[in-house]
Amino acid sequence: MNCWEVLGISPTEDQHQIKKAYAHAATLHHPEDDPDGFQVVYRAFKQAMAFAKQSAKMSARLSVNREAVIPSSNERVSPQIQEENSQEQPDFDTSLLQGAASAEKNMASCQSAVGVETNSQGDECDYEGVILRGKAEEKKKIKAVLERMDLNYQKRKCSHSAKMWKQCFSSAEFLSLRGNEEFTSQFLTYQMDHIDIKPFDWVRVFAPMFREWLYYWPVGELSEKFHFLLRQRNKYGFVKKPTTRRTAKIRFVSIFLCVLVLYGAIGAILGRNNSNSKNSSSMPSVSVPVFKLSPNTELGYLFEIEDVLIGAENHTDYSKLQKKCEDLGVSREKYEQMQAEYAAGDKKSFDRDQNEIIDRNSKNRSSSSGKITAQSEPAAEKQGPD
Amino acid sequence: MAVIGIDLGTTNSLAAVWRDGKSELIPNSYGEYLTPSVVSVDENDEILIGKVAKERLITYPDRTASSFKRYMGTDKTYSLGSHTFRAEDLSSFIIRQLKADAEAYLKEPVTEAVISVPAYFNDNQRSSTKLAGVLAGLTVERIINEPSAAAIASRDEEDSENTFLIFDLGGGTLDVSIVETFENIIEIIAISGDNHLGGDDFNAAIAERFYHTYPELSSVLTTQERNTMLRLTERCKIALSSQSMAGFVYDYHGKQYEMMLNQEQLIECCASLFVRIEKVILHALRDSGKTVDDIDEIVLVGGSSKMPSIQKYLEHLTGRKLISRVSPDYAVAIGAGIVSGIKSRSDGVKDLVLTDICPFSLGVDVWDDAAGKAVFDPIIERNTPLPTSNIHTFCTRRDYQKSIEMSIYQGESLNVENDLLLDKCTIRVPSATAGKNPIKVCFTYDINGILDVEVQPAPGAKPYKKLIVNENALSKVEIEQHLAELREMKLNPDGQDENSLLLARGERLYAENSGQIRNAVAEGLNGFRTALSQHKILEIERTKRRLSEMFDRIEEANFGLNEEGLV
Repeated sequence: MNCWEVLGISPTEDQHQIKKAYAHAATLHHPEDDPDGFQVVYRAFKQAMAFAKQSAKMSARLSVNREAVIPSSNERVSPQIQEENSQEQPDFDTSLLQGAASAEKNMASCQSAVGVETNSQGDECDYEGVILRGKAEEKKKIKAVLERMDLNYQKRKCSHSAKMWKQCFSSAEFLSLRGNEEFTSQFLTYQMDHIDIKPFDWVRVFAPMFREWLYYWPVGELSEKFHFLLRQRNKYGFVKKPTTRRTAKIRFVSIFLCVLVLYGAIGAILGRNNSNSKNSSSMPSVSVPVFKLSPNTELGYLFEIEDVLIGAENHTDYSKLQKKCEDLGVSREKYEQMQAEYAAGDKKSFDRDQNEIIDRNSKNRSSSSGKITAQSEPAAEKQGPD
Repeated sequence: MAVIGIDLGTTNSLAAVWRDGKSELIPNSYGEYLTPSVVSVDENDEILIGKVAKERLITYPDRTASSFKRYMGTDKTYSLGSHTFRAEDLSSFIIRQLKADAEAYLKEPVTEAVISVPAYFNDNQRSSTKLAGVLAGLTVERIINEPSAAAIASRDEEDSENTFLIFDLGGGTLDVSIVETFENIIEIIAISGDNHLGGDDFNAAIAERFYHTYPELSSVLTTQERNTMLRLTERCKIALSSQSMAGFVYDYHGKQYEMMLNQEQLIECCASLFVRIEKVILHALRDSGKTVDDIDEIVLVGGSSKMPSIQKYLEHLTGRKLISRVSPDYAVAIGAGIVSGIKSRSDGVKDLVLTDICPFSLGVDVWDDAAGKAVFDPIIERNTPLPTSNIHTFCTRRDYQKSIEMSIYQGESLNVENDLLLDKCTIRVPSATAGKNPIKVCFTYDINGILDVEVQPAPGAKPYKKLIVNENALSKVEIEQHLAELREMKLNPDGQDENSLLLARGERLYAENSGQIRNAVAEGLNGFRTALSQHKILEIERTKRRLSEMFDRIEEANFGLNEEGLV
């Protein structure tokens, strides 16, 4: 039930009408008789008023824009109004200088953003309805995704849970909700309440995804929550255990024992087949590639590449990202575009891009393998979250 | 069975009741609405309240208490005669008196009450006020903020949409609130206030000026003489409301000290108080998100707002017209009466809806790693509409921490030392590594302004419930005991008639004056006492009339400087 339904009116900008509807609803749910019902009414009233005020503000700006656009009406704009608006919007002067076309465009975008009905365009769309419907749909979607997650959570001890999570996170609904603040917030709250996800799932699915999502929320509350969640786990996905005196002692003893056993075992092997030892040491030294770039990688490709690009810790550092992108010869725009394409499920172009990178990288490797290994080391170190 | 609304003021208290579709003030035995909030204990260990007690403030300062509202919810005790009282007890005597007056007026028992408190009263003070009502034998239905009550009383029923600023300057407190009314809705948008700024401070400021003029007096005066001085300055201040210049003469051991004040001098010596007033008003406006232009009217409430210097200052500050639809002295009581009507769902106010807010932030202290110390984390922000509930999630700081210590604060400062500590508690948490365990803290602030805290140490764990308990307050058993004790204490029934008032007044005048006047007062009092003991009704009436005329003349003479010549 949205706020308009509670108040029993159709969406409106008219504050007076909202107040009237609220007054009527409040008498039906009087705080002395029905405190809970009144809370609902009161909240709806606040929401409706916030909407109306925002719309009024925007339409005020629109009307100013409109007057600025029409040259003949320039004289009508009294200096007082101009002054007022320049206080509100410091860059108003520059917008005055812009061409009529861009102002028109601006106006149109404003309209769709707040849903203000204007007659100047001639077409009267039901913007409010569209927005409200969109919001309701979004809410439904969020609920569905969270429910699906909950189902997965219930089955988290299954052996194939990682696959289930991946399926869940690569579903179209989920991908379309990326960057939605409300969803992210709900999702994070859910995560914080259910921290006991399998370490394997965490490393393979959650950690990379969170790191990617941090792009959308570089600062603020959500970012803090992400960091909090990431801090919860060590790089292998286990919930971090502290080094107390006792654990340190146990660790020391166990390492000591391991070394002893290993020493004994190696000694035994060396003693038994002395001739084979040379063979084993003459294995060809292969520099292990940092990331696999097989085109078959389903999910996590982007995440893995990202890990290597920027290091797990500094993933929000845009300048570093830029630099790394340049190093690899991919522009950041390109990179983001790839991400978007991937999100949209445009596999073909994605594969093409991917192949390009692989080609370029293989060239790089052949020309200067030293560079790659140098790159690999810090990345490998920084793979897990701190 | 009636419900009354009580305005329990710092200097005066009064009660109102919802009857016949309007809020009606209840007169006391003198036929007046205002009962001074003064309590005195007489020689027979009986309690005197109101006007008589006020007269005894000067003659028996060690047996009389006033302005105790300022110490509600604190440990401060008053020893009057052989008794020791807390501020709650003294307030309960006042409420008992008001209740008795109401019962006499309504001719039916009064069992329930709505009591108003300053908006800035904290949790402890509210609980203490509630306790005072319980001690007086009333069920306290609702604790309501004074500005909200004043807003209800000052509502213009014809004007449909209105935004006004309520300026409530009482004896001891200042509350400024921004209120919006439309249809049947009264919405408090923001409240700001100063708990220690009121008419008493103006009296003290004038007295301070007097001591400044006569420095030889400032160090030698006793408590009794200082009380006399405050009384003189109060009357001087009130006189300044109706005339441009006023003064008083203080007689100290035969030597006369006089002081004259005009409006400018009054403003001059109270300058710091005016600055504080401005601060509070700006704060309220800022919180409400409105500007002065959005305010339609300013409503004056509280006795001290009758001062012309304050009214001029407000007009100068805001440029709005000042109104008071009901007398500033009565607005809060009338509002409380209306609320009692709403509460009992009476006709006429059935549909009236009042939404109040929490005037301060409430929260807990949390460890801030960056700052390296505990900081305040507000869970309920100020100016949140009531009732409200909010949850914050915290986690442990150390590994395998066994328990957390949570302190609940009220205030606006990030630094917890500057905030008011309401309560402390220790909660056991399941052993886990640092930061693993989410601890949910839920604050619920109800419509009476009473805080309820619930802590859930782990998901699924049993929540730990806590109602804030005032550490200074009494436990339940103590309350029972106390109630029995107080019941035994009788309010002096004779203390309310005019005869004892006249006697108390005479004693005060005797103490205030010297020489011939003193002798005349003593003679008159003796004659009156003789007449009283002989039970001759005609004689008593005649002496009474003569005596009160004489007292009036003496008071005029003491205070007559402003009427003769000097203006």
